[in-house]
Amino acid sequence: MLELADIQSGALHPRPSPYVGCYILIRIDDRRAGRELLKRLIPALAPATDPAHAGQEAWVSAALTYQGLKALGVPQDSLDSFPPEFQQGMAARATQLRDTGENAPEHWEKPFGTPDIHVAISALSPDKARLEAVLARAREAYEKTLGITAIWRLDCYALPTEAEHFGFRDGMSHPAIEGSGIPGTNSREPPLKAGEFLLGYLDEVGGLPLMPQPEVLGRNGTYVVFRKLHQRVAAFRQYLKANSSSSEEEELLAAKMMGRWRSGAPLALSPTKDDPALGANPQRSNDFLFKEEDPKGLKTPLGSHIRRMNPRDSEVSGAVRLHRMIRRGTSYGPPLPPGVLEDDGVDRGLAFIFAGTNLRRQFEFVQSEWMNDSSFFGPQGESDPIAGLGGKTGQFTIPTQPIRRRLRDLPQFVVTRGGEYFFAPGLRALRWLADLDT
Amino acid sequence: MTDKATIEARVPRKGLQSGALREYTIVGKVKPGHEKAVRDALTSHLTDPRRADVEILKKVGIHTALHALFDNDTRLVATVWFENDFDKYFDDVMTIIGVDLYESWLQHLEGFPEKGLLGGLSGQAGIEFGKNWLAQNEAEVLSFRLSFPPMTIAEQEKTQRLVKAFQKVLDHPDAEQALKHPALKPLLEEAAD
Repeated sequence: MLELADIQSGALHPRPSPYVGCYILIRIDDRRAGRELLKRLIPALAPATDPAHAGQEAWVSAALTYQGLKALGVPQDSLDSFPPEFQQGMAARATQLRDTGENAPEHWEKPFGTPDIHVAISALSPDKARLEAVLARAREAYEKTLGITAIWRLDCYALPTEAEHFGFRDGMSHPAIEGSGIPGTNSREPPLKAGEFLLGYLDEVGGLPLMPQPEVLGRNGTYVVFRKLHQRVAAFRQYLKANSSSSEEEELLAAKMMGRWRSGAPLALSPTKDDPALGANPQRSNDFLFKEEDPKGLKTPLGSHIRRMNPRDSEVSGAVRLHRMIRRGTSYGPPLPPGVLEDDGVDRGLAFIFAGTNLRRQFEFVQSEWMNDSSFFGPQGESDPIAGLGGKTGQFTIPTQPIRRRLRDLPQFVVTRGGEYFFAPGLRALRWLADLDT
Repeated sequence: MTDKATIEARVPRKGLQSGALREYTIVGKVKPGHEKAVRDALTSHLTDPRRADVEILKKVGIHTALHALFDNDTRLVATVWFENDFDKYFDDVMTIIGVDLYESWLQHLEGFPEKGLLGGLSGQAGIEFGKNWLAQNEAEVLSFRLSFPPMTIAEQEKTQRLVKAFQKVLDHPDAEQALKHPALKPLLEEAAD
């Protein structure tokens, strides 16, 4: 049984829809101030037993980086018990993550890539009024404490269409987690072991995930990946237009790249035309597998985004259940008005968030092996057409009868603007951190 | 052309890489008295259906697995050629192939940990231990050269299907006429032999 009362809600529960929210990054300059911050924050955090926290209907979560734990005065032997990738921080993992070229840390927005990011607070709410109410409380915690500084903030909100900036409905797919009471969105996928997402429980490898010490710090915690991903919406629209001869063809092309129509309806269940009612139905829109009905990718291309991120039962290299992710993306920035094909220079994109107990096996693996290469299912040299780097060949194969379609010169539509690795402790762990006396 | 594999490691990796293919090689001494046991373990695929199943090798991207005994069975060399990253896919290899298959022959080598390949640890901790132990026991291969750019398993299977299909086309009485179409010129150029 999961200790739901000790687990931060954001680790388990999907975000509200629609939503407004923000992310705040904080630097700790004085360890006592950092602990005071945690003491004030803890009452505002939602446990998994009560995600819409005590009638406030706001989801507030807190997480810390390795540098943040160090700044709080966590003892060295405890710091050393964290995984190497977490200790190194995301910028140092650029090679593993293929954050090269435009995505490289030297181009990142500050403070990403620096050791100054210590604490992250995220607040999400169904509407602005409720968000403000909860932010006021969090603001009390961090503004009134000397020795800590808010160094970055990103506001996010669901777009009017409930889609992300490329126009696709988002946030529809998440796995069932054993013992959580939260159903998954795919009835054909057996629930994943809780230890894939929460420390202290059995995972898919068959044992306990590696847990930082002491136990009170590690148990019920999880790791969080945050990435600010700029989306080149104009470039995406231009590419669709240049490779299609009608708006229907553009929609089909977009669907073949993503694996879903923009409504969210999966190609697997609606291969030739969109079905908005299906896309809007959370019980059905994720309820499918690939192997038996679509082994060659004639419906959902093998290299499409959703099939790369979760191959389900497809014939691929590796054990898919070891590489599943909980993803909690939120959009940021104003939408590019419909029909506009020229870039307006405005920053817009996705605040990508992943939660899981093994940064390397889950997030890093999918990012490097399944997003930016294609040998795990087919020919070398292709990458994810939506989120990838363009790949060595710049091409994207759409299996089609009688003759496959092959797109060329695929640009990079998503650019990494920054990111970091965090640890989201359980509530008991947060109290332990707040009570440190080093 | 060989490149040193840029695989990140808690223990530095020695494995070489040629295109999509990587190698991993262990050389070890067989424990005295264990010669028959290690020979039996390494030939069990000839009789045990589970070990004979090459689909499992494909599932983790292993192209070639070679094991040899020499010096009157007192020494062993094992080399594996695979198309995925050793570190990144190691969890998958241990989960899909199974630790017991590795232990069945490794346990007969000197220096094999007393508590087994996973060092008596379970789950992820055991896998990390096994990964590092194997890396520490790699031989330094100096040269890994392929005369032909390696293809992935998926590419090879596609190529085989294509060749088979092409031969069927060529066997058709109307093949010559069909291949005269300008779009099929590249195929016509391959049809003569």
